[in-house]
Amino acid sequence: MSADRRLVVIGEAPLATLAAAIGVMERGTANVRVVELSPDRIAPDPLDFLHDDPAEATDVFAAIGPSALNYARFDLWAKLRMKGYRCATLVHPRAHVEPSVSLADNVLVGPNASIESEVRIGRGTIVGAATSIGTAATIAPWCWLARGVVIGAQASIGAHTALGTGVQLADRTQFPGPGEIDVAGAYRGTYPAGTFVSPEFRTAGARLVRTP
Amino acid sequence: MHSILAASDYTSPEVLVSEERCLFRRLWIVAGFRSLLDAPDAFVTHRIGGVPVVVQNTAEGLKAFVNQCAHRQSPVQNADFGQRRLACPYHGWVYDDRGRVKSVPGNEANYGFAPGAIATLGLKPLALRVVGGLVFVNLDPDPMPLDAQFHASFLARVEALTGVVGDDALFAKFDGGYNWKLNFENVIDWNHVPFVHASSFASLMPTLKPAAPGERAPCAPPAPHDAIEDDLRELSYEARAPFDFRAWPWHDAVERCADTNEYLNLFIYPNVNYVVMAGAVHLIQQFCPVTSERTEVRLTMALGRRKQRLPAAPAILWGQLKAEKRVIDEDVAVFEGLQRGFHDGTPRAYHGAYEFRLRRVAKVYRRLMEAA
Repeated sequence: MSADRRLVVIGEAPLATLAAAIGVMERGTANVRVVELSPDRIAPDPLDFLHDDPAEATDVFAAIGPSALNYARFDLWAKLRMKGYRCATLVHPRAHVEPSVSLADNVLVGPNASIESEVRIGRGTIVGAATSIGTAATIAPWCWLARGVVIGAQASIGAHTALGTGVQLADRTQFPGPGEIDVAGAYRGTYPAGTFVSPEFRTAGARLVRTP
Repeated sequence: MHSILAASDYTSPEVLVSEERCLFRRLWIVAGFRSLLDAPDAFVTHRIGGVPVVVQNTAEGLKAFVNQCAHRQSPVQNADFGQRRLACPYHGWVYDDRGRVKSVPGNEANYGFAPGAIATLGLKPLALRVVGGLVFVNLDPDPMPLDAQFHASFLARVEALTGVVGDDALFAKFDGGYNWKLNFENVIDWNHVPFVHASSFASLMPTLKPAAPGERAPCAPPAPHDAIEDDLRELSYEARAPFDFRAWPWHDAVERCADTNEYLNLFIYPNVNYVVMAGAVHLIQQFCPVTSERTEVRLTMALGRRKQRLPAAPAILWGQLKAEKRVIDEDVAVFEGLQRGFHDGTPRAYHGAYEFRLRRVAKVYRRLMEAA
């Protein structure tokens, strides 16, 4: 975090609102601004709104929700990086993050989240409020952990995974991405890559026939 | 005009046994997308007419077998899809590209088969045809020609529309408490859409909105049963409707086979609704009987062949499949209520003039069932 650098949060509520709030607490109101951008505008938008924010003095944050398994946020991040911007890592002051935790860029950790020692969180992952991540768990890039998710110790979550509110993964659970669990409850064991569980497919879920 | 089918045709276990014999083990049945079987040892499993079936990519091409080990009848492949050689997980018997037993672990110590005897054992082969991007299987030892079941013009459309399917695909299955025939009858009944799918689907289909009073001319009374032709080939056909699909940039990243604003169906008798959305998303809906009052619905959704990198393909498929499942759930609620209501005194369904296709399906069904 660089308190003297400006922060431009680009995206949509509620993630953009939370990201901006954390930014204000870090850098002050004068140094933070929000630009609204919906997922369907990412591809065509030339990002001209950054014209007065030079990359040398500005951090940005791609604040797009879990749309398209976080690929939309990834697309915005890639455009921002192509323009030379550095993406901030935002941790809410009321989150508990052990010093040994590794957080990549464009990661956001929400209020009252708890991240135990030796956890690694990859680029672009969003850790929701009151989410708990156990010791030495690994969260790959571009994941979405909704409010109140529990990840057990040494669990492993693959890239482009979305876990919904109330999902609890037991210790050492392996959930390779891409995938989604959007039904609250306890999950354990090793899942095939490309597993999807949602209210529409509650019992057997859906599965990618071939994973990328 | 009353249907020639009675409630017992939808509830009787004995009827299902006859259907397995007279329909599912005689007709060509869709097994899945060809593109998902391109890799060596790729396979898909099914249950057709009560018989476990595996379609496997072998060094000699695609082969279909009864999915039962020659030893103790265990499935040789257990998963719905996968990539694994033909080897029984129960006692390790391995099969060659023609389904013959190639090796029996511990033969000398445990089985005592003479070397020549092993070669006489094997998986039961089944007839298989590929049309465009679809694999068809037939369980009949003397299968009917494909063009006895489908018009040549229909097969040409199957070839054109399914030939562009790529290998990005998502699979799901679920059970519903109803007879499988209700599913096929429903998909060919366009008139249910504005009522059952009023909020989810119909609003995007401009031509299927209910007509305002006086907007539609009265139609002729239903034709008598004798006037309905009973040609099996007429049961499989194509339908298309304008649809307000949202245009996404990824549409241009895959090969398309139809207009962006079209919802297209290939109804493939007896149990498949093949859907093409925006020319880019392909969906096989398979209605597989489990019991006379239980159906397994198998959904395989795939995108057109990629023309460029499309890393978000899983997300695209997942979003589309969830939306499609919400629509299907609206149908399932109707079917399950309808099925629960079947009883001894249930009168036969009443068919109006527009339901001539339902009557044709029933007539051919009756003929096929009585022919055996």
